[in-house]
Amino acid sequence: MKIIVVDDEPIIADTLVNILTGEGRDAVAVSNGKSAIQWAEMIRPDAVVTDVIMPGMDGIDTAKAIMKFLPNCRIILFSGQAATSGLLAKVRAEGCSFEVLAKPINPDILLEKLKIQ
Amino acid sequence: MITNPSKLINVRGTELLAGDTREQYRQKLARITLDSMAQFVGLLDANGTVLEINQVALDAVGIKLSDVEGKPFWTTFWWQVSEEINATLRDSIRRASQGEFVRWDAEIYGRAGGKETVIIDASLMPVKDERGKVVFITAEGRDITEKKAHEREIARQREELAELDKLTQFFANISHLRREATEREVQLRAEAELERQRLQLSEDRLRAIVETTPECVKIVAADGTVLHMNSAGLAMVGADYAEMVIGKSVYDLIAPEDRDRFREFNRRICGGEKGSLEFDMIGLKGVRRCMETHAAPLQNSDGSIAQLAVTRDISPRQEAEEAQRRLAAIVESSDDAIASKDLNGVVTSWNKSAEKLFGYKADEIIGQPVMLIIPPELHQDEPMILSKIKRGERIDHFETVRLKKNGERVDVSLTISPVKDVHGKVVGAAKIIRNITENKKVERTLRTTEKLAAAGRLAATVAHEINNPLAAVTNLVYLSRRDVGDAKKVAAYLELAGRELDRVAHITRQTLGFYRDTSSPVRFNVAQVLDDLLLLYATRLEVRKIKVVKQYDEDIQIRALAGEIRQAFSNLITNSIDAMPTGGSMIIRVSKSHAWTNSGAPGVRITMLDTGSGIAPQHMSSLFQPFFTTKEDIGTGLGLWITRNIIEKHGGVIYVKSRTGPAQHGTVFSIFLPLEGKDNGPGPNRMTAASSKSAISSGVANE
Repeated sequence: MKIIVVDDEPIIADTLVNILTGEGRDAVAVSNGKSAIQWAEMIRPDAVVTDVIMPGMDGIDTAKAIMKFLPNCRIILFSGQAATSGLLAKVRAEGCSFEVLAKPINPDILLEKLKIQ
Repeated sequence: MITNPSKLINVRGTELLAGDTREQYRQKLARITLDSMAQFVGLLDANGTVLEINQVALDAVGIKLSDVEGKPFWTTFWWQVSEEINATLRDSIRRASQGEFVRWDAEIYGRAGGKETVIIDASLMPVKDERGKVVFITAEGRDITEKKAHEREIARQREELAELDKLTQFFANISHLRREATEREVQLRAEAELERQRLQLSEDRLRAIVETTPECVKIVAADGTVLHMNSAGLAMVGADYAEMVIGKSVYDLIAPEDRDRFREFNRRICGGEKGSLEFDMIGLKGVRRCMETHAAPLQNSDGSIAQLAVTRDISPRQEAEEAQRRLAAIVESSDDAIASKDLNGVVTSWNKSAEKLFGYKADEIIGQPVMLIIPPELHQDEPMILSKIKRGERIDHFETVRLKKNGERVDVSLTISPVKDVHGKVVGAAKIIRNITENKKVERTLRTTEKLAAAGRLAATVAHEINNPLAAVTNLVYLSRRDVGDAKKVAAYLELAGRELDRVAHITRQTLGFYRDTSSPVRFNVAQVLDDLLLLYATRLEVRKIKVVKQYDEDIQIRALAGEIRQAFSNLITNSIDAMPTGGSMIIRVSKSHAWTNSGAPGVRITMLDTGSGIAPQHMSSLFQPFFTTKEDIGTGLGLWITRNIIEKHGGVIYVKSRTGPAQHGTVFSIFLPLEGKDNGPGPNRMTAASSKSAISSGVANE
């Protein structure tokens, strides 16, 4: 299972990748939306785990862009900010729906989520 | 008269003789007739030369016919009273000689042997021959001295009456509710005087007066039939001629609802009483007028008693009184307390609501100094208010505190207007006092609400800043457990986790300072507070690509409620961030300054400029109002309102300028804070609020 982890805080992305790799997943860490899309085109991941609030392209726009060419890719968003709910409402109005987990995520729960197809 | 012409008769030198021919006899009779006429008669030739003058005229001044015969009439003794009278005579003779009948009133010598003058109704009648040429002029003069005296007397009486009317009118005009009683008394007295005057007058004088008086004078029989009505009365009832009213029932002219009262009134008057009555009349043309009548019994020649009434139209007075009564009722029943004072600050009026609000009854506070309701620490406000009023200025919605009788304080909003007399001179002040205690309570609740909302927004910001390091720590703890056998790895994880926890600690130290001890003012560095806030919002600024430029003067310390000032700055910074969703710049400047008011107190000026979208012109005026927001999903609409409150509470001022042009757009907030901020409670210092409001409107620079 190929997973891309996106977070502008490298320590978060790196530790998550470390955890996922330990569980036998094929994970890669990137720090912004643009490189996430580039990597997704290259490796065609089964799942993308991304922060919502990031400089430049935010997690939602990143997810939407990836869904265009990988409609079956699992998207898991995580955010530590209340303002996210406003962004999500906008996305829902456009006909998409994403799962959002609150930061900090318990790694066990994330692993559970990734198991369910 | 002369029944026996055969008898010898001598009348004033004319002897009728038995032997007189028929011709002579007739001539002598003519002579006697002429001489014995009571009026002055004479015959002049066409040039005015005296041919004949009768004996009465000669006797009146003690002269003989030979004294004037053959002389021009205007040179005779009678006409030497004045040059003017003489000239009139000469002119009259000239006109008569041209065939005109001339008649005028003249004063001539004509009594007591020529020592006294009389007034005559003089006339010159041209006598023409068969061809129509004037050959003689007959002169006549009837003594009308008595009649003139009468007329003068009547005119005088009329004038007196007019004076009385003016007097009563005057009192009607200055009718004032408070003086109503006195006015009424004066009026009644004047009416009584009028009545007395009338009774003194002889009948024809009365008739003359009755016809010329501007009031309706009528005589009504006991059964209500109108026996007489003067022309003013006819005009009042809308009658074109007397028969439309005379002989008809007076009740047809009375408004239906007043008919019974009028009937009863007529019964009383015809029963011998005097009295007055107010009633509504409906004229023949349908015009309703409010009338006031004064009536007295009048005995007719047949012994029956009728009502003699003088009635006047008091509709205008009635309307003025009505308007005044209505106004008084409005004032009295107003929910707002309404009071007035004179220029010495003495209370002159006090309505019901004022009684309720302050606990003072009108009669216990009227005449007392207004200081009674002003708290001691605000006594200096009163001369300021009075001097504004004296200049004729108005004070609008001045929020202050007043004292109740029981010593309780009440938050009020005052609107004070100068009261001017008829000459436009300021004589006092009228004030509307609105109890705004409830508003104040609501305001306090709003302030608390906004504090909580601000805390909530802050918590969200803090949460993000804390959740990131926590996420890292969570992952590191997970990894440490997983790799528990590998001491080296675990040490590295713990090292990283420790660093992340330091980050959390730093953030909490920064942010929790916000709400530490907000109850008393402390000395702090303005720039430091701004830096702390910028650090807190660093991520947001970075995410939005907002460049921040800081231009701080050297270390400036102020004494203020640090938490509140932080809240005020925080509101402005987050507003700027919200105004720049796609990036921009923010310049924050801190410099030493002085108050822009008279005090010139030293202080600090904080300017926050952004290159955001700007504030739409139509929003400028409501910017600082509570619940005004353009960000409906996230804003409470209380941020700027609370910001202004905080700044003003510290004796500061806040200005805003904004542009929404396509090329140049953005907003500048400029704040002045005194170095030693006041920490008075909310409310008392509202004059600064007013000045900042006007500053906002004048400082707007929209494009």
